[in-house]
Amino acid sequence: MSSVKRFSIYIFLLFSLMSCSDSKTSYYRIWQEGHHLSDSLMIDFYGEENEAIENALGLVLEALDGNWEKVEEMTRGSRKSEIAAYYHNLAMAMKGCLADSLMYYYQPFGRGLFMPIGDESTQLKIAARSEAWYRLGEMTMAEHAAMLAQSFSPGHYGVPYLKRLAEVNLVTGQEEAAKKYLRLLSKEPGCEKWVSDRMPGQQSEEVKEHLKKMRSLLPTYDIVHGQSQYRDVLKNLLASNPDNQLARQYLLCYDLLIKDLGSFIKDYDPMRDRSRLYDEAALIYLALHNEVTPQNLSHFRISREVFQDFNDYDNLYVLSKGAMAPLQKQYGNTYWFFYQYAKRNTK
Amino acid sequence: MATPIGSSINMLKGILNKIAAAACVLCFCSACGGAAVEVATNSDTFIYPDYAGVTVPVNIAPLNFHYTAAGIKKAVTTVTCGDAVVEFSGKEVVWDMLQWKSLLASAVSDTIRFSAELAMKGGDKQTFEWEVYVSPDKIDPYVSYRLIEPAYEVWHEVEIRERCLENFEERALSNWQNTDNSCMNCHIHSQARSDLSMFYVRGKDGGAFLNRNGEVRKLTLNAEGLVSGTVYGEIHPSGRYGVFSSNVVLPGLHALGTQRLEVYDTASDLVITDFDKNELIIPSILSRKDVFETFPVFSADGNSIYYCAADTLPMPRDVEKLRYSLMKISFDPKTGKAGSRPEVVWDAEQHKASVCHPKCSPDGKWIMYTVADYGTFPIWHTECELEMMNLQTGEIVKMDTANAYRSDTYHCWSSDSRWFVFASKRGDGKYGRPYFCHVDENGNLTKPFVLPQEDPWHYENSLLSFNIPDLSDGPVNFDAQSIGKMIKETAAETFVINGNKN
Repeated sequence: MSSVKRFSIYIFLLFSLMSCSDSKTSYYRIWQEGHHLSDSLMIDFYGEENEAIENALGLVLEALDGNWEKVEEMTRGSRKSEIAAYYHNLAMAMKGCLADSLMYYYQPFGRGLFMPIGDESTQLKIAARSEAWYRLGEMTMAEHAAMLAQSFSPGHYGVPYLKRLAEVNLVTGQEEAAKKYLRLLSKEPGCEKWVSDRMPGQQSEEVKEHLKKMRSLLPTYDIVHGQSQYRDVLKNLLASNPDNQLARQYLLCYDLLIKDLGSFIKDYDPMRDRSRLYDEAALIYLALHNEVTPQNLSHFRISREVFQDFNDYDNLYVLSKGAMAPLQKQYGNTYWFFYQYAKRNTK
Repeated sequence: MATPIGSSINMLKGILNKIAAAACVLCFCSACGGAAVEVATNSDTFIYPDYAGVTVPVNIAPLNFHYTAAGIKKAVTTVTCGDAVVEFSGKEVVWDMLQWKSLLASAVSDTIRFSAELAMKGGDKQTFEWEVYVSPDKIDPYVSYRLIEPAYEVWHEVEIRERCLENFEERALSNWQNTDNSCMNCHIHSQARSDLSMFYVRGKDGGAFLNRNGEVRKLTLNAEGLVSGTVYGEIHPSGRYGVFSSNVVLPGLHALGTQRLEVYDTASDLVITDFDKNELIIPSILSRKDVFETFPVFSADGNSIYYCAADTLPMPRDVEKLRYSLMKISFDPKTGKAGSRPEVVWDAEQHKASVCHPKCSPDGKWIMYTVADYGTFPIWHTECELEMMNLQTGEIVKMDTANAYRSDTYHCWSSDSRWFVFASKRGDGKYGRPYFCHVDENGNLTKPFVLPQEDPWHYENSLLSFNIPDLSDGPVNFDAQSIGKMIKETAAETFVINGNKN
């Protein structure tokens, strides 16, 4: 090999390395490349690169890869962000502790669990919508959301949506559709391994295990429902698979976030679902219905300590004449406080 | 991706310090996106689009295709017809337009023979032979369709396009840029006539755009007294009337992942429009509260209306029990009035199935429709198939040659009744594509072929569905700009309900 040729190869390798060896991941750039967007289009659509957008895009991408520790870490400092709340709750639910963590984070009511789609939805919120449904095992909703995200993306194209669409169709066994998306992804830089690990007939053991788990969550009963009938969908998932822990947490916490205690009491099984949050909610229900009796406290397995706290909360409420500040200071992380004081942001 | 230069150089220094520097660097590069993973496509066919054994019209655009196997090292394709021989090298076969046209002209009522020899990586060889039959029956040279992502019921940036079937020219008839991103419904022609067609643009400045007698009118086909605006329908062959359904349409999602979307009506009636008098006529026999009436069309001679009807049921609870029969009622083009005695043409109870989208062939011989297990909108029902009935004998023709294991719907006849186009989700199951099928006077069908595209990878790369392909004997006299102008500047003509209901 001539020295000139060898030098050319080294130069080529140097530039290749420079384009591949980012020490810190820029989600903004990954997003831009994965959507085939020019700098100006990226700015037009998502704004200049800054910490907030970087964090939001990172949440979408890390959750898509199932990096829940990272998602938890990235949402730790966030406050009053619907996207952060949505991903934080999902990460907590994946760990099995959604109920215990619910009142320790900003909760935009039901929007903290499901991203509703409306005229005012941003593309990023639409892009986020698929994640919870996919993890819950509701593939129609997950696919629907991914299709919408693609439709509303600047170029009607994006690697995150193609990945989700491929995954959904692999889970539901629609391999021809999955292969369509995998083929498109195979042309995307950095997706080669992701694709080859999932290609039907040559899937990695890890992917096979993931697909097996996801298929075990699929509903076996069919219902026809609207996009916002969250409870019906969750109950159908649980009717098909009572051990779907994620669906169980989502159902109970959804009831509580929308303050539907009647539904909560119907859905709640004190023998199966244990969390102080549930005890607090059950106490409100009993108090509202004048049913705080030793039998009911026993039935709902409400501890003496929680009951005493509830009485103390009530006393403080009377003493402070309903002023929010003293209650928030002492009980800001209780469902009692949320139930009484959290107000919907109508903007 | 932009990369801090310093860190890359430091990393390179570290790598170069190692003995196996070059090998490490090469591995790193290949993992960074150099070579793409080669993915076989459409494994059930050796070429895509699958043109093996199809019958095409003599005026069709070039059938460009590619081989689907992964690992092709070399491919040679030989095409012969009579004395003509054309050879292609490579795994994609893309025709020169003149060469293709010349070959087609010499192959009328004959077959074009293809043979392929593929040398695979690893040393294997594969050979294939197939034929394409060239029908002397020309197809109407234009087809229009709506391009939209199959995102169920939500749209964003949709357009209606018109494509010439004799080449690859395509243009927008209406698009989102000129309609303030409004939803638009598909473009339908009366008996494939380019001078008689209609489509809707929704939204506050939208309307029904009627192309008739060389003029495009913007109409409001709605009035107090209808259950909703007009939805599905057809224009009378005379051009004076239209017959439409007025539906309250709701979408619902299936929990089972392979079923996806169900669209159902909670109310639906039929209405006749008089485009000369700007009147709406609501026949009481076709607007019963205990019956869902929908998908009306005129017979080829214009003296009857065919439509689908089902007893009302609570929706969506009982959607799986909802079965529509095919009905017929007389129509008097002199008065615009429907008759009083509907008759059952295809009985849902007898067939234990549901019918939708009837379309009469312009020669008056056939009616083609879609059959599904239940419901009124089966585009996601994998079981739904095309079927046709001989209107002279009542004989039902099963269309196994045309149907696939995915939904086959929204068909449209050519003006000479020798071809029809339909939307099929065969293949990946998600994206509707226009397929064309020849039908002879006895109802014999040939293997359908997908709309040819210049890029043989077009369908694999496309994330859009072709909705309601509709044939036309020529280009229509409007385009996206003229429609956009009408949306902005032209007030929609209003229609009133005729006081004398019949």
